[in-house]
Amino acid sequence: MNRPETKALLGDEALAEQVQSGDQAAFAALAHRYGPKLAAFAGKVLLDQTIGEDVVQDAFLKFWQQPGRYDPAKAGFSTWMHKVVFNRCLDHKRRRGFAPLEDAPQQIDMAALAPDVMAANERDRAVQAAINTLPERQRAALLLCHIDGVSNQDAADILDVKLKALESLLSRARASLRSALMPMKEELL
Amino acid sequence: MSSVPDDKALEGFIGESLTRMANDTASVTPGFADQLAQMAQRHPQPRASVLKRVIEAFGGWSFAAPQLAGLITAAVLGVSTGQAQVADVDLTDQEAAIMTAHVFSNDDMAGWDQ
Repeated sequence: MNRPETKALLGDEALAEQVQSGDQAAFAALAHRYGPKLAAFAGKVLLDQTIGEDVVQDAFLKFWQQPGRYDPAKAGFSTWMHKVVFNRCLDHKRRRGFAPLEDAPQQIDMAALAPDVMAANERDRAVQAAINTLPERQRAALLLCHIDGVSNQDAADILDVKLKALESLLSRARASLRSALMPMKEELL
Repeated sequence: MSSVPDDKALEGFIGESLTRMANDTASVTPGFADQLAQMAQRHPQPRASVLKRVIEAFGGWSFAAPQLAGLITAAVLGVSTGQAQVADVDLTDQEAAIMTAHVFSNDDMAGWDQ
């Protein structure tokens, strides 16, 4: 019952319930299932992979020590854990005195990323660089909906905004990306 | 943002690029998931003679204390009230402090996942 391969077959909520009973294998299964994905997400939100991993470790440790904080009746485990991680990212930035959430995006020289012929990974890197210039909430909305495959409603819940506001964040994020990447369109397409 | 050209080709490219990045965890430190998974072994899940400590914090065993303490214990530790009532292991000082604080204020734990 506690074999890792058995746990891998269980759904998130079943595993979370087992964690409440102190089941280390169930915790390990959730850590393997979501740890790297959440760490990548946090790293992109914070623009610092190391701190992103620290944030995810902290979130998982809290979950292990207080698993009752997760209520499956209110949200799926993935949605809930994304929310915990995102809020911890915000807390981290506030503590470190980073710029306010809706500050103007940083300006980067996209032309410097545009050689005549770009390999696929270089093109993706250019897109990633453009994503990194987005204001934090726009970036998080885009990462959640397009990269982590979270539904718009779940993303709105994670970011603690109304669905309309989430859609507005996404719309502005896409427009900003188009604007940033337009000068290098010929190299990208 | 209305000045941004509505370029379908570029929009499509951006969408495809985002999809390629979808499950890209290459930036994550190798072994991170294993390290995360092992945290449960390194950090024992708090169980408690918390019930006893909470009852003490209430000033003794009154008729209401056991039920109320059981509910608080269950809420703070994230276990069922049944588990809280049968749990009987030592409590660390930090856990005791949290529990004691929680008896008198609900603010101490607020916001950790907010």
